[in-house]
Amino acid sequence: MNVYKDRIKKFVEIFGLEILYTVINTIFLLFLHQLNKELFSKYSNQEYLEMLMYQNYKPVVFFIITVLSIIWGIIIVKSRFKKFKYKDFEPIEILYAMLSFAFTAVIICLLIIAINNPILQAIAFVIGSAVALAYAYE
Amino acid sequence: MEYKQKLLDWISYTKRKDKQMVIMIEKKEKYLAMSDDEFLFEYTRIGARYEHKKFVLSVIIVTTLITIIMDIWGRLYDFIFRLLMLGNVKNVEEDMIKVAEILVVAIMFIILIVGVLIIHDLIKNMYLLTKEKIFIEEIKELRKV
Repeated sequence: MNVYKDRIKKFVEIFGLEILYTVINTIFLLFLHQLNKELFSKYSNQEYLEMLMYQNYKPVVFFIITVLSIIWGIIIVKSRFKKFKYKDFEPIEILYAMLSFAFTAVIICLLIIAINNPILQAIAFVIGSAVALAYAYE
Repeated sequence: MEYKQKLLDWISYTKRKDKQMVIMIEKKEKYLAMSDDEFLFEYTRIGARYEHKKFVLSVIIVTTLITIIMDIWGRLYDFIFRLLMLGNVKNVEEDMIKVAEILVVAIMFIILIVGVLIIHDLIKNMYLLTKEKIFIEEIKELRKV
Protein backbone atom coordinates (compact mmCIF):
# COMPACT_ATOMS: atom_id res chain seq x y z
CA MET A 1 0.00 0.00 0.00
CA ASN A 2 2.84 2.33 0.95
CA VAL A 3 4.52 1.73 -2.42
CA TYR A 4 1.44 2.98 -4.25
CA LYS A 5 1.14 5.93 -1.87
CA ASP A 6 4.76 6.90 -2.59
CA ARG A 7 4.23 6.53 -6.34
CA ILE A 8 1.10 8.70 -6.28
CA LYS A 9 2.93 11.28 -4.14
CA LYS A 10 5.84 11.37 -6.61
CA PHE A 11 3.46 11.66 -9.56
CA VAL A 12 1.64 14.57 -7.90
CA GLU A 13 4.98 16.27 -7.10
CA ILE A 14 6.17 15.98 -10.71
CA PHE A 15 2.92 16.79 -12.51
CA GLY A 16 1.28 19.01 -9.86
CA LEU A 17 0.74 21.95 -12.18
CA GLU A 18 -0.51 19.77 -15.06
CA ILE A 19 -2.94 17.94 -12.75
CA LEU A 20 -4.29 21.27 -11.46
CA TYR A 21 -4.59 22.51 -15.06
CA THR A 22 -6.36 19.34 -16.20
CA VAL A 23 -8.81 19.26 -13.26
CA ILE A 24 -9.75 22.96 -13.52
CA ASN A 25 -10.16 22.78 -17.30
CA THR A 26 -12.13 19.51 -17.21
CA ILE A 27 -14.64 21.16 -14.86
CA PHE A 28 -14.67 24.23 -17.12
CA LEU A 29 -15.17 22.03 -20.21
CA LEU A 30 -18.20 20.41 -18.57
CA PHE A 31 -19.73 23.85 -17.97
CA LEU A 32 -18.86 24.90 -21.54
CA HIS A 33 -20.44 21.75 -22.94
CA GLN A 34 -23.59 22.46 -20.91
CA LEU A 35 -23.66 26.07 -22.20
CA ASN A 36 -23.23 24.89 -25.81
CA LYS A 37 -26.13 22.48 -25.37
CA GLU A 38 -28.32 25.27 -23.96
CA LEU A 39 -27.36 27.59 -26.83
CA PHE A 40 -28.14 24.96 -29.45
CA SER A 41 -31.49 24.14 -27.87
CA LYS A 42 -32.59 27.79 -27.57
CA TYR A 43 -31.26 29.42 -30.74
CA SER A 44 -30.99 28.55 -34.40
CA ASN A 45 -27.80 29.01 -36.44
CA GLN A 46 -28.83 32.49 -37.62
CA GLU A 47 -29.39 33.98 -34.15
CA TYR A 48 -25.74 34.67 -33.36
CA LEU A 49 -26.41 38.03 -31.70
CA GLU A 50 -28.96 36.64 -29.26
CA MET A 51 -26.64 33.72 -28.59
CA LEU A 52 -23.86 36.05 -27.39
CA MET A 53 -26.27 38.05 -25.22
CA TYR A 54 -27.55 34.89 -23.51
CA GLN A 55 -27.63 35.22 -19.69
CA ASN A 56 -25.88 38.59 -19.52
CA TYR A 57 -23.05 37.81 -22.01
CA LYS A 58 -22.16 34.43 -20.50
CA PRO A 59 -20.72 33.09 -23.83
CA VAL A 60 -18.34 36.11 -24.07
CA VAL A 61 -17.08 35.45 -20.52
CA PHE A 62 -16.57 31.77 -21.44
CA PHE A 63 -14.64 32.85 -24.55
CA ILE A 64 -12.25 35.03 -22.47
CA ILE A 65 -11.71 32.21 -19.93
CA THR A 66 -10.99 29.75 -22.78
CA VAL A 67 -8.37 32.03 -24.35
CA LEU A 68 -6.71 32.59 -20.96
CA SER A 69 -6.74 28.81 -20.31
CA ILE A 70 -5.05 28.17 -23.66
CA ILE A 71 -2.36 30.78 -22.82
CA TRP A 72 -1.88 29.14 -19.40
CA GLY A 73 -1.41 25.72 -21.08
CA ILE A 74 1.17 27.12 -23.50
CA ILE A 75 3.09 28.66 -20.56
CA ILE A 76 3.13 25.28 -18.72
CA VAL A 77 4.52 23.42 -21.76
CA LYS A 78 7.03 26.20 -22.47
CA SER A 79 8.36 26.15 -18.88
CA ARG A 80 8.81 22.34 -19.09
CA PHE A 81 10.80 22.50 -22.32
CA LYS A 82 12.78 25.60 -21.26
CA LYS A 83 14.80 23.44 -18.83
CA PHE A 84 16.43 21.48 -21.67
CA LYS A 85 17.95 24.54 -23.30
CA TYR A 86 20.71 25.44 -20.84
CA LYS A 87 20.69 22.80 -18.09
CA ASP A 88 21.70 19.16 -17.73
CA PHE A 89 18.74 16.83 -17.52
CA GLU A 90 17.90 13.19 -16.88
CA PRO A 91 16.52 11.16 -19.83
CA ILE A 92 13.34 10.55 -17.79
CA GLU A 93 12.71 14.31 -17.79
CA ILE A 94 12.14 14.18 -21.56
CA LEU A 95 9.39 11.64 -20.90
CA TYR A 96 7.91 13.93 -18.23
CA ALA A 97 7.97 16.85 -20.67
CA MET A 98 6.32 14.73 -23.37
CA LEU A 99 3.62 13.62 -20.92
CA SER A 100 3.08 17.22 -19.83
CA PHE A 101 2.80 18.23 -23.49
CA ALA A 102 0.26 15.43 -24.11
CA PHE A 103 -1.84 16.43 -21.07
CA THR A 104 -2.04 20.08 -22.05
CA ALA A 105 -2.33 19.49 -25.82
CA VAL A 106 -5.41 17.29 -25.31
CA ILE A 107 -7.02 19.92 -23.06
CA ILE A 108 -6.18 22.76 -25.49
CA CYS A 109 -7.64 20.80 -28.46
CA LEU A 110 -10.83 20.04 -26.48
CA LEU A 111 -11.13 23.71 -25.50
CA ILE A 112 -10.76 24.85 -29.12
CA ILE A 113 -13.30 22.29 -30.35
CA ALA A 114 -15.78 23.20 -27.59
CA ILE A 115 -15.50 26.97 -28.01
CA ASN A 116 -15.54 26.90 -31.83
CA ASN A 117 -19.11 25.74 -32.22
CA PRO A 118 -21.10 27.97 -31.74
CA ILE A 119 -19.45 30.71 -29.58
CA LEU A 120 -16.35 31.48 -31.70
CA GLN A 121 -18.39 31.34 -34.90
CA ALA A 122 -20.89 33.78 -33.40
CA ILE A 123 -18.08 36.12 -32.30
CA ALA A 124 -16.47 36.03 -35.77
CA PHE A 125 -19.86 36.72 -37.37
CA VAL A 126 -20.67 39.67 -35.08
CA ILE A 127 -17.19 41.23 -35.39
CA GLY A 128 -17.27 40.83 -39.19
CA SER A 129 -20.73 42.38 -39.43
CA ALA A 130 -19.77 45.23 -37.09
CA VAL A 131 -16.64 46.07 -39.11
CA ALA A 132 -18.68 46.04 -42.35
CA LEU A 133 -21.38 48.23 -40.81
CA ALA A 134 -18.97 50.68 -39.16
CA TYR A 135 -17.16 51.39 -42.42
CA ALA A 136 -20.27 51.28 -44.62
CA TYR A 137 -21.74 54.51 -43.18
CA GLU A 138 -19.17 57.26 -43.81
CA MET B 1 3.40 18.52 9.16
CA GLU B 2 6.03 18.13 6.43
CA TYR B 3 4.01 20.27 3.99
CA LYS B 4 3.42 22.90 6.68
CA GLN B 5 7.19 23.15 7.23
CA LYS B 6 7.78 23.35 3.45
CA LEU B 7 5.24 26.16 3.16
CA LEU B 8 6.86 28.05 6.04
CA ASP B 9 10.30 27.63 4.44
CA TRP B 10 8.92 28.90 1.15
CA ILE B 11 7.49 32.02 2.80
CA SER B 12 10.43 32.79 5.13
CA TYR B 13 12.91 35.28 3.63
CA THR B 14 15.87 33.93 5.64
CA LYS B 15 15.26 30.36 4.47
CA ARG B 16 14.94 31.46 0.86
CA LYS B 17 18.11 33.54 1.15
CA ASP B 18 19.99 30.61 2.71
CA LYS B 19 18.85 28.31 -0.10
CA GLN B 20 19.99 30.80 -2.72
CA MET B 21 23.28 31.21 -0.88
CA VAL B 22 23.91 27.43 -0.95
CA ILE B 23 23.19 27.36 -4.69
CA MET B 24 25.51 30.33 -5.23
CA ILE B 25 28.36 28.72 -3.27
CA GLU B 26 27.96 25.49 -5.25
CA LYS B 27 28.03 27.46 -8.48
CA LYS B 28 31.09 29.42 -7.35
CA GLU B 29 32.97 26.23 -6.57
CA LYS B 30 31.93 24.78 -9.93
CA TYR B 31 33.19 27.85 -11.80
CA LEU B 32 36.46 27.99 -9.81
CA ALA B 33 37.13 24.29 -10.48
CA MET B 34 36.66 24.72 -14.24
CA SER B 35 39.57 24.75 -16.67
CA ASP B 36 40.34 28.05 -18.47
CA ASP B 37 38.69 26.84 -21.70
CA GLU B 38 35.54 25.68 -19.95
CA PHE B 39 35.27 28.95 -18.04
CA LEU B 40 35.83 30.99 -21.21
CA PHE B 41 33.04 29.03 -22.90
CA GLU B 42 30.61 29.70 -20.01
CA TYR B 43 31.65 33.36 -19.82
CA THR B 44 31.05 33.99 -23.53
CA ARG B 45 27.78 32.04 -23.48
CA ILE B 46 26.34 34.10 -20.62
CA GLY B 47 27.66 37.36 -22.10
CA ALA B 48 26.16 36.58 -25.51
CA ARG B 49 22.81 35.54 -24.02
CA TYR B 50 22.71 38.78 -22.03
CA GLU B 51 23.40 40.91 -25.10
CA HIS B 52 20.86 38.92 -27.16
CA LYS B 53 18.11 39.38 -24.54
CA LYS B 54 18.95 43.10 -24.33
CA PHE B 55 18.60 43.28 -28.13
CA VAL B 56 15.22 41.43 -28.10
CA LEU B 57 13.91 43.71 -25.35
CA SER B 58 14.97 46.84 -27.24
CA VAL B 59 13.38 45.51 -30.49
CA ILE B 60 10.08 44.96 -28.63
CA ILE B 61 10.23 48.45 -27.10
CA VAL B 62 10.98 49.99 -30.54
CA THR B 63 8.13 47.97 -32.13
CA THR B 64 5.70 49.17 -29.44
CA LEU B 65 6.82 52.75 -30.03
CA ILE B 66 6.36 52.35 -33.81
CA THR B 67 2.83 50.98 -33.33
CA ILE B 68 2.04 54.00 -31.16
CA ILE B 69 3.52 56.38 -33.76
CA MET B 70 1.78 54.62 -36.66
CA ASP B 71 -1.49 55.00 -34.83
CA ILE B 72 -2.55 51.34 -34.84
CA TRP B 73 -4.24 51.80 -31.49
CA GLY B 74 -5.82 54.99 -32.83
CA ARG B 75 -7.45 52.98 -35.60
CA LEU B 76 -8.88 50.59 -33.04
CA TYR B 77 -10.34 53.51 -31.06
CA ASP B 78 -11.65 54.94 -34.33
CA PHE B 79 -13.46 51.65 -34.95
CA ILE B 80 -15.04 51.79 -31.45
CA PHE B 81 -16.01 55.43 -32.11
CA ARG B 82 -17.63 54.46 -35.41
CA LEU B 83 -19.55 51.71 -33.61
CA LEU B 84 -20.82 54.27 -31.09
CA MET B 85 -21.85 56.59 -33.92
CA LEU B 86 -23.77 53.74 -35.58
CA GLY B 87 -26.38 54.14 -32.83
CA ASN B 88 -27.64 57.22 -34.69
CA VAL B 89 -28.12 55.36 -37.97
CA LYS B 90 -31.51 53.91 -38.72
CA ASN B 91 -31.99 50.19 -39.48
CA VAL B 92 -28.99 49.18 -37.37
CA GLU B 93 -29.79 46.97 -34.42
CA GLU B 94 -28.71 48.50 -31.11
CA ASP B 95 -27.90 45.07 -29.68
CA MET B 96 -25.46 44.50 -32.50
CA ILE B 97 -23.49 47.61 -31.56
CA LYS B 98 -23.56 46.74 -27.86
CA VAL B 99 -22.30 43.18 -28.42
CA ALA B 100 -19.62 44.36 -30.89
CA GLU B 101 -18.36 46.93 -28.35
CA ILE B 102 -18.11 44.30 -25.63
CA LEU B 103 -16.27 41.94 -27.99
CA VAL B 104 -13.77 44.65 -29.02
CA VAL B 105 -13.06 45.44 -25.35
CA ALA B 106 -12.67 41.69 -24.61
CA ILE B 107 -10.21 41.26 -27.49
CA MET B 108 -8.24 44.33 -26.36
CA PHE B 109 -8.14 42.87 -22.83
CA ILE B 110 -6.78 39.55 -24.15
CA ILE B 111 -4.11 41.33 -26.27
CA LEU B 112 -3.12 43.40 -23.21
CA ILE B 113 -2.78 40.28 -21.02
CA VAL B 114 -0.63 38.51 -23.64
CA GLY B 115 1.56 41.62 -24.02
CA VAL B 116 2.00 41.98 -20.25
CA LEU B 117 2.91 38.28 -19.95
CA ILE B 118 5.53 38.50 -22.73
CA ILE B 119 7.11 41.66 -21.29
CA HIS B 120 7.05 40.21 -17.76
CA ASP B 121 8.82 37.05 -19.00
CA LEU B 122 11.45 39.08 -20.86
CA ILE B 123 12.14 41.39 -17.90
CA LYS B 124 12.37 38.45 -15.47
CA ASN B 125 14.82 36.66 -17.80
CA MET B 126 16.82 39.85 -18.14
CA TYR B 127 17.03 40.18 -14.35
CA LEU B 128 18.25 36.58 -13.93
CA LEU B 129 20.80 36.98 -16.72
CA THR B 130 22.10 40.25 -15.27
CA LYS B 131 22.55 38.47 -11.93
CA GLU B 132 24.38 35.63 -13.68
CA LYS B 133 26.58 38.07 -15.62
CA ILE B 134 27.59 40.06 -12.52
CA PHE B 135 28.34 36.79 -10.76
CA ILE B 136 30.53 35.36 -13.53
CA GLU B 137 32.42 38.65 -13.83
CA GLU B 138 33.21 38.53 -10.11
CA ILE B 139 34.36 34.91 -10.53
CA LYS B 140 36.59 36.04 -13.38
CA GLU B 141 38.30 38.49 -11.03
CA LEU B 142 38.65 35.76 -8.39
CA ARG B 143 40.25 33.39 -10.90
CA LYS B 144 42.92 35.98 -11.70
CA VAL B 145 44.12 36.01 -8.10
